[in-house]
Amino acid sequence: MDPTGLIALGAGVAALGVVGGGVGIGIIGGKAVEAVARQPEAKGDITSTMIISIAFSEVTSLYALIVSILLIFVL
Amino acid sequence: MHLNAQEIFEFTVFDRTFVVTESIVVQWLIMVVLTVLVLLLTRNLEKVPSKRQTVIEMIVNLFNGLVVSNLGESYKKNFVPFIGTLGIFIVFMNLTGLIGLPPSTKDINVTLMLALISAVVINGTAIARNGLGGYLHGFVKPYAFMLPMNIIEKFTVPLSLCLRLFINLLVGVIFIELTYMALGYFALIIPVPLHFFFDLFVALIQTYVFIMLTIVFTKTSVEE
Repeated sequence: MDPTGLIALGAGVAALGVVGGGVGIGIIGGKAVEAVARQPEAKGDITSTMIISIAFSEVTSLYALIVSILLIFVL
Repeated sequence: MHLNAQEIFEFTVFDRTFVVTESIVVQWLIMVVLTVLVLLLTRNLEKVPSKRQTVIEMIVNLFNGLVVSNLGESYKKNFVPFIGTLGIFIVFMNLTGLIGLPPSTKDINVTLMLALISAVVINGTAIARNGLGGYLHGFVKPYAFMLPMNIIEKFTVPLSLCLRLFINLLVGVIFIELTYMALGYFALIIPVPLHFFFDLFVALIQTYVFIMLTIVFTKTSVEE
């Protein structure tokens, strides 16, 4: 049996894990906007903290993406 | 589409075959360009800066500000050259997508090497600041049963640094190549914003994230 279709299906399901990272980045961005609106003078600190937090949140969704890419290109 | 590193040539020394890949050749080109740029741009610096010198001072002040505001004044002498070299090298590697060469950082070997350098600097700074005893004592903080977690953390930090840079650039390359494949001969306007986002925006953000995370991890490992 040709497994190509099942591999593509598995890759698609694996890429669903990206959703978590997207939600996390959205929450971080929203909270950062709230913080800047409350204290505009702390904008620089908030921005750099936000980018670090986004990097941590993003990497979890990238792991899901790795699984998906490996399924397509390696199997 | 190919994901493996493109082989340019190989040579044999003492019955061992060394393969030179595309990413290594691109890095050599970047090293040549950087050396020439440094030699050209830092000639006859003066007290009253010219236009060219103002731009260089802006770049140096950027790295100075990052290191001093996050780590403190005492790290300035040793850390600014390291962070600056890392940042400029990664920026050049990420931005080669703009001139048609694939970014070297889409090769996991390159990012793993960069992450290992960062890991050596992070742990070396912790040992140099706290002494070997203090560094080893940090493994059993806050409690002794946290020892396995702390050991695992030493390995996950470079792994996550490496994978973050690698996957972000790889996704950009795959996405742009898929777009060109889908559009065929009609690839005129549509890829331009994609290039802008993946080759410029993501590249700069990921460089910033990489050097900021190196600084932050150094800070936390020294404080432990």
